[in-house]
Amino acid sequence: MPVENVKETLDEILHDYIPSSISTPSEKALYEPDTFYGLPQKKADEYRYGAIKYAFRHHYENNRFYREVCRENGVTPDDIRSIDDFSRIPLITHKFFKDYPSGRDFAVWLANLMSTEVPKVVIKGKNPSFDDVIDAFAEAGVVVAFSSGTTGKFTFIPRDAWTYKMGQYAIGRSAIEMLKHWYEPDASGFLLFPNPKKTNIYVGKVTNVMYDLVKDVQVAIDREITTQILRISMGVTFNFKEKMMSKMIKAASKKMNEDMVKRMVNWIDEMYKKGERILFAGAPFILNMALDRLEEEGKSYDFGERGAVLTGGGWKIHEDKRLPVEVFRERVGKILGIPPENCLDLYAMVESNGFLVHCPEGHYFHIPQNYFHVRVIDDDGEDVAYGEEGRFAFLDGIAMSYPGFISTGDKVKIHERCPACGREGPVLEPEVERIKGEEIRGCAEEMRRIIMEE
Amino acid sequence: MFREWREKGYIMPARMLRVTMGALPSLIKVLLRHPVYVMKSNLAARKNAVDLGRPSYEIPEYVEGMPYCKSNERYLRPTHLCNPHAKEIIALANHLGAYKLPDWEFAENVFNFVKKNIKLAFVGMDREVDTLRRGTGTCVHQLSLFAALCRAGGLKARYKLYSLALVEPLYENMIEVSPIMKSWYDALGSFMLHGTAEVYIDGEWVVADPTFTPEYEAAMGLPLAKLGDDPMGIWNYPLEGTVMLLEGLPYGVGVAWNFLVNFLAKGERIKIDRSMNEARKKGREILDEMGEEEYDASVRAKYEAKIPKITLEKVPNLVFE
Repeated sequence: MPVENVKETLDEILHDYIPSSISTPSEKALYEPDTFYGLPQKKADEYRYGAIKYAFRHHYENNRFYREVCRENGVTPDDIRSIDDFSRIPLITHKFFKDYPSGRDFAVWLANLMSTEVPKVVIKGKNPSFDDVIDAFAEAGVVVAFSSGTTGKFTFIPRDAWTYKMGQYAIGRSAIEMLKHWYEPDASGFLLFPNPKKTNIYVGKVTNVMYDLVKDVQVAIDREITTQILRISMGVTFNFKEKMMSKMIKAASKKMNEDMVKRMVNWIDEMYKKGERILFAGAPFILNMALDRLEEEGKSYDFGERGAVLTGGGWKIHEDKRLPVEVFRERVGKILGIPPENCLDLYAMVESNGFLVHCPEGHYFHIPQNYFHVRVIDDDGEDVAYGEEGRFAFLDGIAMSYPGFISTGDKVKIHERCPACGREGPVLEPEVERIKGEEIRGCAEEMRRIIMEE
Repeated sequence: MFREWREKGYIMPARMLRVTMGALPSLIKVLLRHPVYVMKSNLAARKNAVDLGRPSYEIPEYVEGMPYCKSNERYLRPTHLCNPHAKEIIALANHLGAYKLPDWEFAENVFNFVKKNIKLAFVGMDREVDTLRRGTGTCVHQLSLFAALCRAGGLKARYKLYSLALVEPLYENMIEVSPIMKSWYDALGSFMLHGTAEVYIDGEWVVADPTFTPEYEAAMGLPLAKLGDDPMGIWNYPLEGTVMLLEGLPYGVGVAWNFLVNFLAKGERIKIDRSMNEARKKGREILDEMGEEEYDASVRAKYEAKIPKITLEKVPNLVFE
């Protein structure tokens, strides 16, 4: 039977992600509400205002670089007196997180970016690579998650234990809340992303919490993925050795993909026979590969309410082909028998700890309004009207180790209310696009480049 | 001779070869997938060519004895498709103030001449004088013309080439108008090759990006580039690991390009040229209405708020061993 009270159940399961005392407005906004998506607007506003004002003051007081940005914009924490003032909080362009030096200076850059105390980090070697620095920070308890667009330039975000745990709790709550009609901790999961234990690539790292949410997790990509491997997979090689590595990766991909699809197909078969509840979480194109195989073999299943799919990271399935979300849901329904209300998409990115999830009723992206404030802005940085398209920007009330007030390269359309369900607050259209000309980015695209032999 | 060829960049650098070889398969794939479309597009191009007009300037007459730089020093000497000893180049360089004006002023005049007069168009690769006579060219044509004029006037000049991602308005105007180009760009996530020039003034290499005329910049909502403005982060984002500094262009650089724009995908090329030409007309209206200076000031103010910089301060807890 699906759980009755999501918060109660998850607070028990995810107790390691909850601090012993909940004291700050950010923590209250995250851990107190019974629901992320069903709060009355007034209550959600109260939590969000508290969390973001607190986060803003925290970064202003503890982050020299962001304080400078605020000074240039003539804003102080005292100027933020209501949610209406949120538009005054200076946004940092997502490109900023791609503008860093290399070697030892990269470590210094990361440390200067942080708004929380930098623990003792020991960096070895005169010219450490990005991976060396990431490993050194990891040893000190700071997760430096990364992501890469097609230009091969990485985005790096340092998360201390505090921010990382809040982010993990947030994604767990967000995902399960929208899938509560399906959820049972006794379910089994297949992660369509890299093994979180073997990479700091954000798409892998962020799903670590899945190991706590379900009883058993299989992983599609069970190999180490460093910045070097990701860059080479993006087609950016700096020397002969890397060129050779690139060729070897591509050559090995075919067999690895074959094994991966085989494992997925066998897993589906096994789970179906056992009558298990299942969850696929991750890049849609990977599940699509398994669906292709099942279709070729003329197999289909009827998981019905026992099955769920939570996708994320974008919808590119081939070099020049995008998979329409609705078509994907139809395929999932036809081949796995999983109903559309159990097939949801999650929108997130390395820079944020806000997880927008489709509602089962209409597949619109709902915002966890208790701690996350979304702005959709035009070219002049002004908020667009409801019903209009614009650049996705956000104020993250639980990003403590770095200023999470960021404008992104994504284009979204915002509505005042969900046209399909009764949950309060603004929603985004079901599909998100890149702003044209911004480099193609998306966790699924990263995965696609890593595993496809194209 | 081999050393000189290498210095001059006549032998294609490995990085450029990699960029080209990396980009070609996706282009071939796109073309092979849509043969009928490409054929129809080429046929339509024959009937509906784009008229970019005649150059708006007269090339000054060469007079025997005009001074020009005869040095064989690196970055001053002639290179492939960039001949500072050509008579028209010498005449124009003199007309723009070579050996009369201070270096910066002369370089600025050259920059403004190329920027304001040479319209961006996807034509086949040819010599700097061809670009000058025609009044159109790709960014690489413009760089060659800029470099040739600078070198003729005794200023060292070189190429900085790279693959890049474009900002939205440029993507819409140049890429999206051609389904073939769009598929190619989307497959790569970037455009294969772009470049800026660099001119050596007072002990420093100064960036010069004369690619767009002011009209086109206005249509795209970009600031009006000046000598020294780097387009990186303004309208383009270079692909990591593709930046190349070259004295000259390699032999064979234009073979595949010429085949593409003059024959294989001529129709698509014309679509892009037409789109850029229409944009220039719109941009002219914007500049006439606002005035160039006012337009530039208002757009620059917007661009100033771009990427904040972190000052790298020592952090006591960071220990380097």
